[in-house]
Amino acid sequence: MTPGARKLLLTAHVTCSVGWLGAVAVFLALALFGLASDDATKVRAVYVACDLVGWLVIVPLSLASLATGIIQALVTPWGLLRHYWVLIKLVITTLATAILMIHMRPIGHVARLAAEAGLSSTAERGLRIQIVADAAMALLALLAATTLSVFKPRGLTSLGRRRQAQR
Amino acid sequence: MTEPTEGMPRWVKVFALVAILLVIAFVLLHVTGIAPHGHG
Repeated sequence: MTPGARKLLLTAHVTCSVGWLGAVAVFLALALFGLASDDATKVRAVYVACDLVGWLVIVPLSLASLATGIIQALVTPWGLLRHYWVLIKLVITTLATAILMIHMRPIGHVARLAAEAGLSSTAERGLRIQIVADAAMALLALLAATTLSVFKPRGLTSLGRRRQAQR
Repeated sequence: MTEPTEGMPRWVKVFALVAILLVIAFVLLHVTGIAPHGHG
């Protein structure tokens, strides 16, 4: 791969990953407002927006971040499984994407209730607390992944050590 | 890229410990009554 193509791929990966982080922050703000507000009309609007932001922004960015991250690791000397920071980022991104897919269902449920005007400001409180908690945990996980990308802390996995010994 | 060849670095162990605690918190959240019920 040419240096130009590598930089283009890195740009795509950084854009998708940081965009995902930003979109989750927006989602968390909406979910917190939906949980705390007493205004039923605004609460309904917020959960319809959460569903849209989830499917149209967060899910595509998470899949793109995972895909570009894997390609990026495979075409550079870092490798996918040789350095702990890359491996941990892979685990975080894969788990966050899988959990996101699972949690789009309860978000869709609340959004459907909201669209049918069947969601009061106090209905489905447990589910709405869970949506806030999940978004907060996702934000923490993505912040950790971003920090790892910037600091790139040292540490070779056993595979990385074997590869280094072979050289 | 020359890297030290010792075992798992301390930061990985700390990171894993924090991740395990968060996973436990996540699981507890889902089994203590604030998980979704009867939807979908």
